[in-house]
This record gives sequence, C-alpha cells and structure tokens, in this order.
Amino acid sequence: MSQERPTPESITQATMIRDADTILRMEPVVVRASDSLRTAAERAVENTGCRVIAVVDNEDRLVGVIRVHDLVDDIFQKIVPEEFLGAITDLAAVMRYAGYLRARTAGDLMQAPVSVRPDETVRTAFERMHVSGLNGLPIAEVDQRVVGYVDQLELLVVWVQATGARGLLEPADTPSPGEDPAR
Amino acid sequence: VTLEAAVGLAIFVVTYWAIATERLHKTLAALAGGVAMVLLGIVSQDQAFAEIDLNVIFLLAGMMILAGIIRKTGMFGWIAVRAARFAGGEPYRILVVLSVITAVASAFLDNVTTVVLVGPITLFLAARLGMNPFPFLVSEIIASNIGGAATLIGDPPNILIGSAADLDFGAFLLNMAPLSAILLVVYLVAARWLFRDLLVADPELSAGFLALDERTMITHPALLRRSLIVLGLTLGGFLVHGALHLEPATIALAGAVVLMVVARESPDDVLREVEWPTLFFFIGLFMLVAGVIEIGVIDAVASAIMEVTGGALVGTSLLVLWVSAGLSGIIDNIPYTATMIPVVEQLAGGQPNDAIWWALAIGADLGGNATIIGASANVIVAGLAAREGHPITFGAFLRYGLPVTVGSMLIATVYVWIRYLA
Repeated sequence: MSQERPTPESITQATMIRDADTILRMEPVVVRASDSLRTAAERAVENTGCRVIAVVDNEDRLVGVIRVHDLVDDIFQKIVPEEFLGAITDLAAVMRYAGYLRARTAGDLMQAPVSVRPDETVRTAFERMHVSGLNGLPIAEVDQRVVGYVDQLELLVVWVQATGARGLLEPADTPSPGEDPAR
Repeated sequence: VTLEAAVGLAIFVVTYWAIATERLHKTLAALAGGVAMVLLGIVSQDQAFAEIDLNVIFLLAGMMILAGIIRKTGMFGWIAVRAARFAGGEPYRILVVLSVITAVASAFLDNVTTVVLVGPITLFLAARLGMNPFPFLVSEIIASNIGGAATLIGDPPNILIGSAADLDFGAFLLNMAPLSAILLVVYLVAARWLFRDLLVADPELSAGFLALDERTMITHPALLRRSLIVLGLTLGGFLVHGALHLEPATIALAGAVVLMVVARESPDDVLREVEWPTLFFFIGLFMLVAGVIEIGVIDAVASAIMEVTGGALVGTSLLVLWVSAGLSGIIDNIPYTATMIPVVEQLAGGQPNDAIWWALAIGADLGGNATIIGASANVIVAGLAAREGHPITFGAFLRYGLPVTVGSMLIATVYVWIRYLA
C-alpha cells in the first residue's frame, strides 16, 4: 500500500498538541488570580517567549488568561498615560482605559479561560487561538490543571516542517496567464 | 374619551415607562412607540413624518461629524494633559479646571465627545493622587449640564426648543449663557465645601506631581489646523445664521461636509462615528409626539396649566420652570422637552416675551442634575465610574445632585424673574 503524501489538512487534524509542544518546548507562565500585576509582569519576564499567561485559582485550576500585550498596555497606561490619551477617540476606548486603571491583580485583567488539552489536535488549537485572538494557549488537562503552553509559532512550525507546500509560502514560479514572464 | 385617544395615551405611557425603566433600549422604545402610533391609525404616516424635525436631526448629525473628526487629531488629549499640568497636584484646583473644561466643551460639543475629552484624564489624575474620582466625576456631570444649557447646540432640549420656537444661537447665548456662567461659579465655590472631606490627595503621591509631556499628543497636526479653522467658521456661522436666513442645521451640515472634504476623511469612517441610536431616538420621539398631539392630550395639558395660572406670564413661566426641573430629574429630558414643546407653543402664544420658552429650557437642562439618570451625560459618566471600579450609586449622587439642583433653580428663578417678569 503506497504511503499518501500528507496534506495540510491531514497534518493539522492528526497532530496532537502533546507532540506539537515538543517542538519549541515553551514553558507556561502561571499566576494566581490574586497575584498582583507586578508579579504577573515579573513571571512574564522570566519566560519571554510565552505570550499568554495562564491565571489559576487557589486549587491551581485555570480560571482565565492574560495576553502579555494587554499586561504591557495596562502597565504603560498607568505609568505614561500621555502615550495613550491622544489615541482615545471614542467612548469604547475611554471605557477600555477605565478598565485598565481599575486592574490591580491578574484576576482583574484576565479574560475568560481558553485552553487546549494535550490530546486535542493542532487544528483545534489554531481554531481557539483564532477565535479568541490569542497568540498562544495554556495546555490544560480535563481537570483544568495547566501542564504546558503551545504557541502559534509551534503550530506554524508543525505545518511548515511537515508539508513542504512550497507553492503557498514562496513566490509563484510560474507566471499567471497573460503575465509577461520578463517582468 | 374615544377609543383612539385611549389607545394613543396608552402607547405614550408605555413608551415613557419603557424609556424610564430601561426595559427596552430608549431608541427602540421611542421608535416602537412612534411606529405603533402610525400602525394603529392614531396619526397618519404623513403627519407623523412631517413632525420629524429635520433641523434637529441634521444639527445633531452635523455636530457629531465635526466632533468625530476633531477627536482624531489628538487635541483633546493635549488639552487634558495641559489642564492636568496647570492644575498641579491640588485636588480642588483639579476639580475647578476639569469642571470648567467640561462646561465649555458641553456648550459646543455632544456629551459623548465631552466625556472622551475629560473622562480619561480625570480617572488618571484621581488614580495618580490615590483618590476616589467621585468628586471630579460628579462635578463634571453638573458642569456638563450647566454648560450645555448655555448655547443652542449645548443640550438636546435646547436644540428642540430653538427649532420649535425659532430662537437662534445668539438668542440662547444672550439669554442662557449668563445664567450658566453664574451657576458654574456658584457651584465651583460650593464644591469646595460640598466635597471638603473627599478632596484629599495622598501626600506622598501628590509630591513632585506629574511629569506628563503633552508635546507628543497631537497625532495629526495638519488635520488639527484644518479642523480648528472649520470649527471656528462653523461657530461663526451659528452666530450669524439668523441674519443669513439659514437654519443652524444647515450651518452644522455645511461645516461637517467642508471638514470631511478638507480632512480627506472617508465618509464610511466618519459616518460610523455618528451616534445613530441618538438620531433615531429623536425620530421615534417626534412620531410619538405627533400621535399625542393628535389625540388632544397636549391641548388638555395646556388648558390645565392655563387654569392653574390663569394664563398669567409670571405664574405660567415659574410653573413650567419648576415642573420641568422636577420631571427632568426623573425622566429623560429629551422626551420630556419633545412632549412639552407643543404645550408651550400654546401657552406662549400672545405673551409679551419668550419667558416660558426660556423657563422650559432652563428647567429641562438643569433638572437633569438632580439624579444620576437625569441626563445623558450623567448616565455616560456613571458607566465610566462603574467600569473604573468606583460606581456612583443613585443615592450617593442624589446627596449632591439634589441640593445643587434646588440651589440652581432658586438662582434661575431669580434670574428669570429679573430678566423677563419684573
């Protein structure tokens, strides 16, 4: 029986997160909901590759996530607001700014928890990142305990390494009909 | 009472109830009420549509477009930071500066734009000084309603009244602005005492206060220059619109169109910033009021007031002044004014001056200060305070809003008496 060449779809649907996570071996950044934003920033600095912080309760169960981007924004808005005030041009932006000022703990800043299980696929992880606008996801077991972190870059590497689908990633080498090949 | 009148009255009462209790979004409630008046045959569609005052709609839309473009220039952030530096770390001085800016902005811009201007800097300064922003935000609500009363374009009730009574921008400036100035000064003096326990900054935080740099804040200097020129021309146009025989709406639309052209802004982006729910709220109200006029309720209310006052200017003006203030504190002053305008049209006929119109404007504008739900600025600021983690409760606001409103109305009564009735 001949081995079929893997397609992008078959790869993303078949590769488990536990396998994808071995590529870059990124460690999760985990903080308690009651931890201060200072603590969250210090933990984030210890592991700069992780772009989404997992927030857990006192029993270490995932209760939310914080984008590192939001954490940096929050801290800068408190320290140097003039960098942001000029960009506040509508009521929604005013309300967001108010939310930033209010935040003191990881629990104040976190958004609803989004995660992926080790036995779920790369495709599922990509979907959740896309829908939630996150660059990475905590990997959590069924009981919501955080066991790892998978980054968007890992998903990209899985796909690039396995497919060799040159046509989609490199300049087209055949001219379109009607296009002057000399140009 | 005919069946038609009973149904029309029921639609009106249910719509008001829905707006007041927020059981439905106010825009939806007003539109539903207005459309129901037509569908149930209380008023013909031609009459209902004819009642929609396009002067009001286009004036609001034009000013929203102008403000929306100016907000993009970074000017508001620049003003806010300059003001913060000027005020330094002294809480009462901050309260005065922010209140004055709010009052002036409210006189010319819509409430949302005013909140975008002062809201962020207020919250930042309070946080930076370790203070609850409550005294600043309450003062801004009060200053917004006082400042908004000053001009034709400052507060929606004024726009409604100006169009219905044919009172131009200059008339509002001459009749309303002096009262607003007096009230603002009196309020700011009183605020020092009213908030004496709350205007206390953390001494450690206020030491070496603020090294904010406003120089980087103007994000679009060329757009700012063009915007200021067009805004200046538009305000100049308001001053002479009567002499030019142009409606204020025409001036506002002209300003909006010129700024869109010279700013090279995409109409798609600019028109997205227009508060369409507010405009449709007005459209719904106009249709609703068309129905109320049709069933004779307006005539009945006007007759009842005439009976109480005997049609005398003094009694009628003061009654309208105080009833308007009282009701505007409880219900949204926009539907109140829209409903009262046809009543006052009847009451003001044959009177020697416009005292009753000014009484309606003053009452509706200032009554909004009594409660946290009294005017749209109040509701927006309350939402902002809640988001920041220092909610302004109904009772907490009432402790300050009610005495300020009663005090303002006493001063306004003296003002109306001396200017129009003595």
